[in-house]
Amino acid sequence: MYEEKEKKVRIGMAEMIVARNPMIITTTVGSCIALCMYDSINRIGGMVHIVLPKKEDFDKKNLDPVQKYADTAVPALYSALISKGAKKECIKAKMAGGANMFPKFTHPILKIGMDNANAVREKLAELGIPLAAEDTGGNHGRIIEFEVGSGTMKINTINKKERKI
Amino acid sequence: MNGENVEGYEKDLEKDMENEILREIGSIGAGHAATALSELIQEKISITFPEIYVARPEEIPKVLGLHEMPSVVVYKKLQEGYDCDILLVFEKEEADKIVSTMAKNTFGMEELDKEMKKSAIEEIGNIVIGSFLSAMSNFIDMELLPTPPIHVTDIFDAVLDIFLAKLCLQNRKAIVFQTCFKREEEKIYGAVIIFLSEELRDELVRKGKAWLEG
Repeated sequence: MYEEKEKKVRIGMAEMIVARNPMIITTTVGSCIALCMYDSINRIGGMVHIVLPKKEDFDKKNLDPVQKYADTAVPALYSALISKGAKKECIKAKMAGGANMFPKFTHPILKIGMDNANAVREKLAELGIPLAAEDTGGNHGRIIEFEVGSGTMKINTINKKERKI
Repeated sequence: MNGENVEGYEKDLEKDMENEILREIGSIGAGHAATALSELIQEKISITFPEIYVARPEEIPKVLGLHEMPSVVVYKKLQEGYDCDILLVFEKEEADKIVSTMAKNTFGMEELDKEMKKSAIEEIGNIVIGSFLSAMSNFIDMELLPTPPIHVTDIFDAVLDIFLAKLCLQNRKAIVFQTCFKREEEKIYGAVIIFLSEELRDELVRKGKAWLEG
């Protein structure tokens, strides 16, 4: 159980939040990705809810928020953590989501979950941010609770036992 | 009021009127869908007057506000021409109740096995969405044929995000039509949610206006 004083904040699609301990950030994802970054020494962490892989592929008019796309959301979250006081060398990432919710259906959109996860991995590697853990893929939705201080992600699904990464 | 404001005001009025037409057409479909559901479970089901939401796709989970609700979602899309996704959504507990009522009424059985439950859910989707569309088809004199049903049981927002991602990919606004079912004296969540394409929305408005003008 979290202590009562810890605030719980929900973020929606294409939203991002960065906070100091204590705070729990929650979201729900299917094909989307909940990407979390944290500095457990300085107790600062954040989450972004990513919808699509690459901004330039889908947002020709440049109207959408950077948080919506993996390739722009990863650096945005990283910079926001640093602005809040996190140290570059202490920042780690975790992610969950990227499911295919309709495995029997063959529309190309259904591989977007996998594409999202790949795009996040690619950008993290490019920026040299270690991916400490992930829970991606499958055919189920995930309710995420992220504890910013410790960097623990609690993942709940409709049929399986709670998982912590 | 300057010229620009007058124009904006008139545009808003026009949109309001168009949405009103869509809600009226939708309520005809919804009424038939509720009747079909009532017959299936032999209980009175009423409907709420439909709502139309037009928003950026990523805002829709907040608009619908169902978030972590365990849900059974039957998905169909319209065939040919109109890129339009249709969801029949029940709170999981409610879907279980409907299936067990169906098991008793239709098959004379207390419980169904997993495969039969799956067929029952998809059959409910066929009947409810089918009556919704055929009532609308008759009214607007357009054929609205859906694909066979697929269903998933999961957290509502997680099921929804793929449809919203698809709209984002196509650079489309979400035009969402929602009508909810109500069981007498019991609060349940059951709804038909339609992601209308702009083409179908415009076509429905055009036919609706023509009908109003006689």
